[in-house]
Amino acid sequence: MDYQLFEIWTAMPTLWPAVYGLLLLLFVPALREDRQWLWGFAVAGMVLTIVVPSYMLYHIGSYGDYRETAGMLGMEMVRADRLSLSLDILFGVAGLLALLLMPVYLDRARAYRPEVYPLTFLSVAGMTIMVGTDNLMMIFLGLEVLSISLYVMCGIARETPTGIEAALKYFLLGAFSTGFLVYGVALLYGATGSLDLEGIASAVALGAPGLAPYGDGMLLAGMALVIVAFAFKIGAVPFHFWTPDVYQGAPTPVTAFMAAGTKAAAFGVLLRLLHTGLSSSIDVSSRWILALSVLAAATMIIGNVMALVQDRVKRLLAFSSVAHAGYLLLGLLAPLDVGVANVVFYLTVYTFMTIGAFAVVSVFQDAGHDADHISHFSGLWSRHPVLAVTMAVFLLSLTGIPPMGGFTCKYVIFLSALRAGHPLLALIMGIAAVIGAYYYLRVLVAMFFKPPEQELSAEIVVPSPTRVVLAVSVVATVLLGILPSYVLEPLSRISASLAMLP
Amino acid sequence: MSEATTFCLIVSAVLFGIGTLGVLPRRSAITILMSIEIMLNAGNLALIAVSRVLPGQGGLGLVDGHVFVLFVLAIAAAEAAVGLAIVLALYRLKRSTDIEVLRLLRW
Repeated sequence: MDYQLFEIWTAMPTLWPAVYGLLLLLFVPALREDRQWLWGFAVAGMVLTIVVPSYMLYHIGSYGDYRETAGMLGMEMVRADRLSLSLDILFGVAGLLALLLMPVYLDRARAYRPEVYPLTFLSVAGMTIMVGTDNLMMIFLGLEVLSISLYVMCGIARETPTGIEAALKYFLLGAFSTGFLVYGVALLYGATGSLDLEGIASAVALGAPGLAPYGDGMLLAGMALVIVAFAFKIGAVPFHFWTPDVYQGAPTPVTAFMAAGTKAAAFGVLLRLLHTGLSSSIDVSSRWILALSVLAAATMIIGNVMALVQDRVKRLLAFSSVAHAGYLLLGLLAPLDVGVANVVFYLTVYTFMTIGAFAVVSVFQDAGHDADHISHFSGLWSRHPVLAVTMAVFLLSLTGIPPMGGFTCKYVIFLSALRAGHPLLALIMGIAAVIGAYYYLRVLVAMFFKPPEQELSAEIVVPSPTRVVLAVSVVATVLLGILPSYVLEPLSRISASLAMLP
Repeated sequence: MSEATTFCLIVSAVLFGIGTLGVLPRRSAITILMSIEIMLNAGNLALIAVSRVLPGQGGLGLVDGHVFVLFVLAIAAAEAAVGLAIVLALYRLKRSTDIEVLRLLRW
């Protein structure tokens, strides 16, 4: 049926947030005083950012996979398939939850700047570009649109020393990893003669790399550099050292958005890059499987061990996010048909539980500063029981205690690692999760069994948008744990959209 | 593959090495930024060199790489703008662009 509608729809998950974000930026000067209106427009736009890919995903069966041809170069650069649309929904959810947290937090931190709303839209647009393509150039563009917006969002509290320190660290490390990405892509391009993942796959399968005498070396070096660049972005050990500083220094709603959104986008790209682009030859795929195994093991162990000694909850959650990146890397190692659904399911659960936990942390502010020391949390049960129980749900889920979502997603990754023939890594995952239980439970014990130590100067007040975020996250975390099949079953069809060339 | 291409690739690898080594031990945020620009330009040089010799249409080689370079240049400019703005904000606060002043966030 109507062919043209279908073409423009392909790019809609990206076009919508990009255009809406730019329009919002135009309205910022006019609505500088009318904060509520600007915020309302932002939230409404972000709701539609979720609705557009959901609608497309719902109807995808009737159209097949959408594809759009970028006319000028005669290449297919934008695509909308089950993987990209599922992740697009997730980015919208992360953006929406972060937008709900932002105004009150930034106001209390005296760092309210309305530009943060358009920047959120632009970084969501960057994420949708990244996952909605098979082309390395588009992946690079999307990653940069996402990152550059996030650098600014981190530094939005530019009068606070910690805020600007986080922004500068994130920027320097992010730009450094961009250098690796560009050089790695250049080498991959030289070795295979294509920027398109399917072109790369067929060149790799033929074993006839583009530039004859150095082809193999270039291919491996390029692959290594690209993996390093993405390891920086997801915070895998040994490229994780920016994570705790940036997570702690950035405004908490931005941290929540960054933790959930960036991770989902980077893993979406890794799924495509590794499974579509670099899996057509056993010789090549065995090497990235080895590299990722080492990264995954180091990330799981060091992330969890470093979290043990943290006294600030934001830093603790940062190391926990490093550890979760390790579990997700393990999910990448599984073969396509089981691995993809598990990774996307894990990202879904992770989005809700981590944003929920950061939402609780965002409530703890004292005179404009983060009051996220563990001692601020002790005795929370007697001061604000509902908040304590809410935080307990997220912490138990991050630990991986049934019946929370965090258990189910760890369990499916564990099983797929066993089935993929990585029993040692599965064992490391089990041990790492047990170590992890200690520091999550430490916060729990402080909240429920210790008397209040360090009183905040003001009463704990949970603003109503934050209540919405907490309610949504709790319900989603629990439901995904009890009824995972309602999400896992549709996700299991994703792998078809990544299926290899014949 | 021609000698010129090999030479360009070697130069790009050397540039990439200089950029990487320039980032690691530096203390000035501006010098780090400059080293990162060198890394990006190493990537650009490699892309152009490779793109010229890959089989394409009309004797031009494959144009994908050339187009990519234009995008990288634009992105690098945007990145430098944001980076310098952040460095400026740091300077306003600390009167220094030395990354040694960044030590609030430590465990």
